[in-house]
Amino acid sequence: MSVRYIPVQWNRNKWLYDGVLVAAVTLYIALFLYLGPALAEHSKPVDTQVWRARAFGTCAFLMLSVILAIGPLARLDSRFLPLLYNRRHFGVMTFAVASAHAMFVLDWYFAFSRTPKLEALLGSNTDFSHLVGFPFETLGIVALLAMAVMAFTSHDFWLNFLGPKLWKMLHFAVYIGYVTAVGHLTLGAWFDQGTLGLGLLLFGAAGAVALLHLLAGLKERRIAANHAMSDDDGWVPVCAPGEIPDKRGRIVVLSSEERVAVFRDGITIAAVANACAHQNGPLGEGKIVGGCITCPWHGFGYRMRDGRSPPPFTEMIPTYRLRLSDDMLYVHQTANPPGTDQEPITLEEAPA
Amino acid sequence: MSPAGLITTVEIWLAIGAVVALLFVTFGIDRIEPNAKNGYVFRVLILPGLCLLWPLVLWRWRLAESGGEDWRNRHSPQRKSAGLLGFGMAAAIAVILLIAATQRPVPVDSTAPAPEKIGATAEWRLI
Ligand code: FES
Repeated sequence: MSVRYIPVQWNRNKWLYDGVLVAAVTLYIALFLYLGPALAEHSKPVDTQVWRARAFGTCAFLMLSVILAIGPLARLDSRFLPLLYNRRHFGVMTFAVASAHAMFVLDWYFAFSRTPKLEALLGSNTDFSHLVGFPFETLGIVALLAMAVMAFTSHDFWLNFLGPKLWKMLHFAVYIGYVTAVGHLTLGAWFDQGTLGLGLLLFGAAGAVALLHLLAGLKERRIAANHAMSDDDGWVPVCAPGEIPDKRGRIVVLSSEERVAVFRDGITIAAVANACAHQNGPLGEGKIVGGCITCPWHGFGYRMRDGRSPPPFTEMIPTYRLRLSDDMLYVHQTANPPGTDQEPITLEEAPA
Repeated sequence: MSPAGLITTVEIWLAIGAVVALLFVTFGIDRIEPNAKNGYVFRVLILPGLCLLWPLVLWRWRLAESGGEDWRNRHSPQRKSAGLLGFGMAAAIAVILLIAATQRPVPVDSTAPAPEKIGATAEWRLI
């Protein structure tokens, strides 16, 4: 949560997350560089620089695959939510590893070129008409560019400056980046070498990413199809108060497809927008901690009655009007502007 | 466009971006972003993004100065497009994997006897 921008926000969990990540990357690259030459055919010795390019390239592909798997995994099973917590650092590290791969490639293949290296790379093959011999490097450059856009806009400043909606749209570049990375690996290394390791990486990782996105997308569709209808005055039925577990929320999908999170804390019930002010995380899947609605993604907190983060924080979300009649809760489909104080419903006694 | 022309275009783009970025971090950001107050080191971190995305920066800067953004925009996630893009990506990957499985050329310059087809060899090299 922001009060004043600092270069990188770290806390104990993020240090741990980043530490594990750096250790895993180092281990992968060390093992690759150590085992690679030993396991490869000796009839065709390969330069160390090429091994480095392969180690960093496959590592970046694996990392990008994991990043893309985390989102749908967390949607399908909340136990994966902690992985989502620090995904931005993961993304920046992936960009660094992919850049190292690009640098090794440029330095090796175009070391003796008379034209500048990048120009030599772009001009060395411009025949896009065949799959075999396709200039797969171009696909790699597109993937790297997509990763650069995301890494360069990963600071919280960008989220606030662009707004979560535009920021997310920009970060959809990861999809383009991944598809081009799969193409780059297929038409490049896989067509050229076709080793078992590459096959496992390509079919295993990319196949898993595609499948997970398909499953998570289908789940989202089922939720969206389940929207509640409003009456003529704009009131939408939610459920009986007792159906909302204590300190938890219930998500209602309005006919406009907006989502509202209705929370119960003991005898108090309030409704807020389901989209967190940070990255539009699903607040209704969070819980109440210390009297605040706490986002399941990165832990931003909001007071129930006015949707404001407690001081010194300044984030705000829209609130909604609630009504209780005949043991049924209704929410009004028109949102109040973010931070509007809205009297919550107070029950006579906590539901059993 | 020739590779040299492409590189020059990118260089011009980034040069304009550098001017916009410098103006923004020294002057603009303090006018529109209260959280930037007394925070200076983070400005260095955002420079590459400002250079790369300068048209977007100019647009948002103007919008923030005029206070013209509708608050609803900040609280309505792009669920539909995210879903469609997810499906689109899954489909594109499936097509590429199909190409990977069926179109890989048989190696021609191997000293070992080349397998007829992919998978025809009993021994797969791991790396
Ligand atoms: S989306 Fe990051 S805290 Fe809610």
